[in-house]
Amino acid sequence: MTSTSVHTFAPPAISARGLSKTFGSGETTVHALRNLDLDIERGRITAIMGRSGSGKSTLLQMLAGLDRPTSGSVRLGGDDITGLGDDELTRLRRTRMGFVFQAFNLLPALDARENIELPFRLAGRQIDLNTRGWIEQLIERLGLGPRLTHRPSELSGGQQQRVAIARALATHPDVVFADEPTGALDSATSTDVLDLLAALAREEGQTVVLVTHDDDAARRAERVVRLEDGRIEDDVLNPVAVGTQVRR
Amino acid sequence: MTAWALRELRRSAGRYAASVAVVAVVTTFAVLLITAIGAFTGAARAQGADVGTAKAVLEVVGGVFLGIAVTVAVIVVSNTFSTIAAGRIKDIAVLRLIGATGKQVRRTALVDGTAVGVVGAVTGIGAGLGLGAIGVKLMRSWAHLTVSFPWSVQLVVVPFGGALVATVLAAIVGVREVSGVSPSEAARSLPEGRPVSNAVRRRRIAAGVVLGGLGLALLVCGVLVGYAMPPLGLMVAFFGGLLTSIGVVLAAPVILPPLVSLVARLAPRAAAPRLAAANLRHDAVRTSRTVLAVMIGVTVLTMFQVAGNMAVMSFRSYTRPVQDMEQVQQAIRGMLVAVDVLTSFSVVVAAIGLASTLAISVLQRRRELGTLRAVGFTGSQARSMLLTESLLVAGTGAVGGVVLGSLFGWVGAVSAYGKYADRTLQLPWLFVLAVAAGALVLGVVASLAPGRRASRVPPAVALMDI
Repeated sequence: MTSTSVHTFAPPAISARGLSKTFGSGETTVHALRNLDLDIERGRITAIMGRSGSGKSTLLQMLAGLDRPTSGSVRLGGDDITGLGDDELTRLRRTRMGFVFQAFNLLPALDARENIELPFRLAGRQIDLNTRGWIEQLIERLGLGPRLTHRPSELSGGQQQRVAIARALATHPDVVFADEPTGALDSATSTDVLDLLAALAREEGQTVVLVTHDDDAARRAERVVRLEDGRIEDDVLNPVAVGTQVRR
Repeated sequence: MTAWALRELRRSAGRYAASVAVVAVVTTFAVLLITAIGAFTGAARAQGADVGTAKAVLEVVGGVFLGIAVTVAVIVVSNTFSTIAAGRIKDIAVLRLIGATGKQVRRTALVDGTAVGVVGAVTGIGAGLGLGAIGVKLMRSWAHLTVSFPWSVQLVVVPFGGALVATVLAAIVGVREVSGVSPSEAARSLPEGRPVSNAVRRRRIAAGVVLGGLGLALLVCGVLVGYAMPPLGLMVAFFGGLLTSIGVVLAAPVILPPLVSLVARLAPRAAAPRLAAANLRHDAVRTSRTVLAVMIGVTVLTMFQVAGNMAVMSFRSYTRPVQDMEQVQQAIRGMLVAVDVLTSFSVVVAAIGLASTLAISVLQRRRELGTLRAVGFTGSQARSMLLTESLLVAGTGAVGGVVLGSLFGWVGAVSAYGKYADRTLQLPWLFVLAVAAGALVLGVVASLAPGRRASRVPPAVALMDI
């Protein structure tokens, strides 16, 4: 178990300063983010909540380097990623970030195992013995053993999302971004998937940014940041999750 | 339904550009062919020759090559229609949900098919008449031949009607797979997910295997019969070749993907090429159709190349006078040039088909490409994935075409010349090299635009709602 106190003096996993993003110009200008400051601490699950149109998806795109802010900066573990070129950003996503999407987004042409190992293949990296062990552990914890040779089309939604979680965690990234990970699942499956994601994250001290509008999902987070109209409206430590997990 | 079809047509007009080009190329070919035959027989008749038989022979030969080009065009166009229909599967599901029958959905393909057919045919007829008039003028001023432009109503009506019928047919074949989709089935599949069915396909494959087997048996019979009665052997072999070809076309989704995998072993073991191979395997139907389009042209070229060279060798083995030999060689070389020119139209159609299939697949794989970009695929990796897909299709088509063409050519020559035949396979390495180079150029050129598009898909696409 990794404790968060170890990282007290290390820089936050992600820090955003003066982040703004506008779309369009003139009368049709949309201010998706307005001068927003946010630090994401290491080893925690941080939920970002808000209604649709509140700016939470835009914020996720900025934090993950999927899009450039109009102004302001984003640092990943102290490194400014705002000015990086496309290839550098891509390499950063490949090695230091993991993604879990609402629509699962597994590659239909690859089977479950190939999907999990995709980030290593993209980097042209051999999977070393340690990593191999970690991947096998993930497969077992997520109950994917009997499904490894199945294509995404042969898996249920919950199974697909568990493959996606394994893919996101396999590289031990600095941050895992989960965008409405239960948006396409029924409630029982949602609970399973969220429990697994939260448990794995806690055990590994994995930093997770969970974007959701689902209160049930946010309950698993140690901290809940609420956005409205492109600003932080509310920022609270979750008493239940913090009580049991962080202030050990 | 028609209103919906018309609106969808306007929205996806750009995606049909390649199909229009294909129809135009084949229609141009048809007009030029009719013009050339008319001009030639007209000139001969003016000199008092009896042209009845010559005209019939020219029409049959021209008709065969036109038929090959039309077949390739139908395969290419139906591929485009089925990929576009697969992209509309969500809308089709909604239509089915509110009560549209499969037949009604299929009928909307008529709108698209007619539009593509009319635009392509008009363009092609215009181009064909223009080129034909220029050709006749050149023959008059340069070669001083007394030819006139053989104007007739048929010159417009026949190609137009043919183009329209073939395009509409291709459209209906293309949409058939999607139109039967049940509303719930369609709602479950993602926009990129092509429906892979079912009993119909299995039956087609069975028919393909049966026909192909029968064809191969007839090819063997042709060789055996040809040994005793040479010309009859060629007849038997001809039908054997025809049946084998139909069998290959029908069973292509089963035969060709493994062949692609085999060719894919030549690709480097990096991420992008391996993904390319997996994509092609995954989308077996689309892949096999695109490979087939390339393969048909290469088969025809190889078949005549092999048969021609074997004819030369067979004559050499029993004709003594050297002058005769040279004449034979000259005649066969002339025939091969004519074959190359006539087949080039099919090859152009296949090239357009490959480029457009790749382009449409990029549009429909946006989420997939966005996901790859998000989890660490660079823009240039995306481009090289598309390049590998293109090269694998062109390369597999070339390999398959050379193999099948060699078989047909060898059987043809052996069954035609019987015991006088020289039985060694004559496959000039220069020809093989030329086919390989052609496939390479085709693969690279076809992937340029789609590859650039693929590399520009923003990773944020992966975050879009379903």
